Amino acid sequence: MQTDWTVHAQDSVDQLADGDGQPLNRDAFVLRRGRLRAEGEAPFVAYAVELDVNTVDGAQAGFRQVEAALRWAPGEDAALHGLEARLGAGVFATPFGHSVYVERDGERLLLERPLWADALFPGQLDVGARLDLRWQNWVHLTVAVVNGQPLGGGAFPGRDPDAAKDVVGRVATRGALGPVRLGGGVSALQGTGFHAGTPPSKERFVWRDLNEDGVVQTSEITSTPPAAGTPSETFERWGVGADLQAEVDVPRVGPLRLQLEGALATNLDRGLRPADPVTLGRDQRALGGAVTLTQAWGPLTVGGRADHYAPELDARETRAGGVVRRDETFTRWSALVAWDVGAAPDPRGRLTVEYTHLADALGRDAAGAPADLANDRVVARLQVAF
Amino acid sequence: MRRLCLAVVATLCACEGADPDPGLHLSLRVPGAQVRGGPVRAGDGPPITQLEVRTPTVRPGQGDYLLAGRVAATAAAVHVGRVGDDGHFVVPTGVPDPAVEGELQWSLRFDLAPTVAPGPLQVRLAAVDAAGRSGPAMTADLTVGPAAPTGDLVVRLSWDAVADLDLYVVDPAGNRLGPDDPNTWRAPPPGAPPAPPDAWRTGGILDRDAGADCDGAGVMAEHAVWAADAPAGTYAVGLDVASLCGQAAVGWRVEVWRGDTRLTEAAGVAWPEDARVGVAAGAPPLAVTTFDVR
Repeated sequence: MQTDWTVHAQDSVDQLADGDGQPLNRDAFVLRRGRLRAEGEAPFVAYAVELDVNTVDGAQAGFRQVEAALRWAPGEDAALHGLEARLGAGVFATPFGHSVYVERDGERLLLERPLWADALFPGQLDVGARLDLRWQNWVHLTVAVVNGQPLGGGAFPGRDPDAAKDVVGRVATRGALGPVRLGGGVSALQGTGFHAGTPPSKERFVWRDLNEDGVVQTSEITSTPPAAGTPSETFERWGVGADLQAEVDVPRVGPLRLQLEGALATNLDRGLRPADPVTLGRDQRALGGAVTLTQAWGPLTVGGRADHYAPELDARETRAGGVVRRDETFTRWSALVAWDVGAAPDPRGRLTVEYTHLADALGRDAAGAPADLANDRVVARLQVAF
Repeated sequence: MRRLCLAVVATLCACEGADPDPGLHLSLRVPGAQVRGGPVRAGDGPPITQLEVRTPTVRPGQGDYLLAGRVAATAAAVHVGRVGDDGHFVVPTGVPDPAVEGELQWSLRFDLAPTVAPGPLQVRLAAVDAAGRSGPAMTADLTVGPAAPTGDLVVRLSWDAVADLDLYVVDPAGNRLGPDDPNTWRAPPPGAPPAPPDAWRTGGILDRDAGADCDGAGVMAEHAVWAADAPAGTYAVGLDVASLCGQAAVGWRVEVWRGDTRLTEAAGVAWPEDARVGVAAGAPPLAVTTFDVR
């Protein structure tokens, strides 16, 4: 269970948003995650069910992972001993990258996943089937066929408006190089996105009483001719990623951990800047990556992350009469201090304070050019796991 | 170590950036535009070469008021704010004007707060180049009209959120004024002498069907207006909750004015269940109040 208190947010105001009427105050307590998980396995089957309650967008409850699997693990006397194979189906984390597929929310030291991970795979979860192969705990291959509509975003979360499926997979390995424990993997996705068509519209004749004098004036009349509907279309999308985890025990201090992760994608963003190349008229290329470094010192851990995501490498805008390149990048610098109580498998807790500086281009300077918006935050989190 | 951490955090917290405030406290607002503190500044930068004001009158609470024009080609943005407000908005300039070589187009739509009093309204504008240098300031002199239309008898229904409420008034002759029949005047029966061409103006007239598309456009108020000589007798006022447009509840107010004298008023809250059984389902409007005109 994770409860956040946003101690300070630069972009917090006691107002409601114009568009959707949602509160703009960020200085609040939020039940970020309240998870209840059950999992088990027998010689030939396995299951996992995870439920979630939170107050991120108001009080809500729902499921996360719901998966049943057939399992095959040859015994010690068999020729293929050491191999474990699972064929599962249901709702599960998309097998792409360490932060999306492997790292659970309760294990991650940083409060949230990297920006690119939430943008390409909002909510982590998708519906489909996956084949999981492990060989002696050092090679792990996962191939999944999914709808391609993540449960945390997109226009049709949990549903599939097109017949084509996304094929996604990750191959990972782990080992040691002297005192350094290493792990890493490469991931790839090939799939099909969906551009929604429009229904036909009837002719509209609109009078907008701009000066509210109750008298029709020609400048206040507009007409919209009837338009034919447009068909829905599909488009190709793909992504590749790589991740590396390294850990070494620093004498008399504790484990020093380094995580590197990155992804390159085309038309795959479904969270931050949902890709629609049909509307855009060109492919939407995205690039993201993160570097995380943490040092444990007994129950105390300090660390930080540099997190960069460019959702649209080819963004353009009209400025001062000309078409110029638009800076669409997000760079997040995070620093944290965490204090752990207890250790698995016993009940354990963690108190984390994280400061985040987000450098973006969401504001405008005096000349109307994109500028960094003041939206730094300090968040404290209390986490308990049983 | 602790002091060092606190110092680092304090330093980082002081990072400057564009103001995230949407400017909801300002009386003149450009939705979606960047807010900057202070008034619009003037200088020797690029000028605004044309300011187009479609109508000189704006009402309190009015949205989407259009200002447009042209600027010199070196202008990157136009700053706009109300004279007297402690803030203004930055609107990037647009494409080159096809009719005037060497100049760019610009346009913006502003909302005026409902609390602005009737009277003169000065909107100050200045172009700004890519280096942030402001040009000469230009002022649009507008007039804030009354919040409600005037007449011999005015019945006003207003509400406090985007929703589709409808005003109904039944005059002493039994004619029901509403969105389905916005005028109480009735044409003479067949065989009777024809009425003067402007006789329709003598009836009670509903000025608009506000909030009908749930799009938030316009002021959330409707008025039934008898411009002169309202018929004597008893009037009944009702309202219908056509749609709350997703709102959990909407507060409404009815005021009846005879010239400058307020005859009566009533207020209440519309709930989602009020929308389930309404005029569209064949039910009568919700009775609000009655009043007499002598």
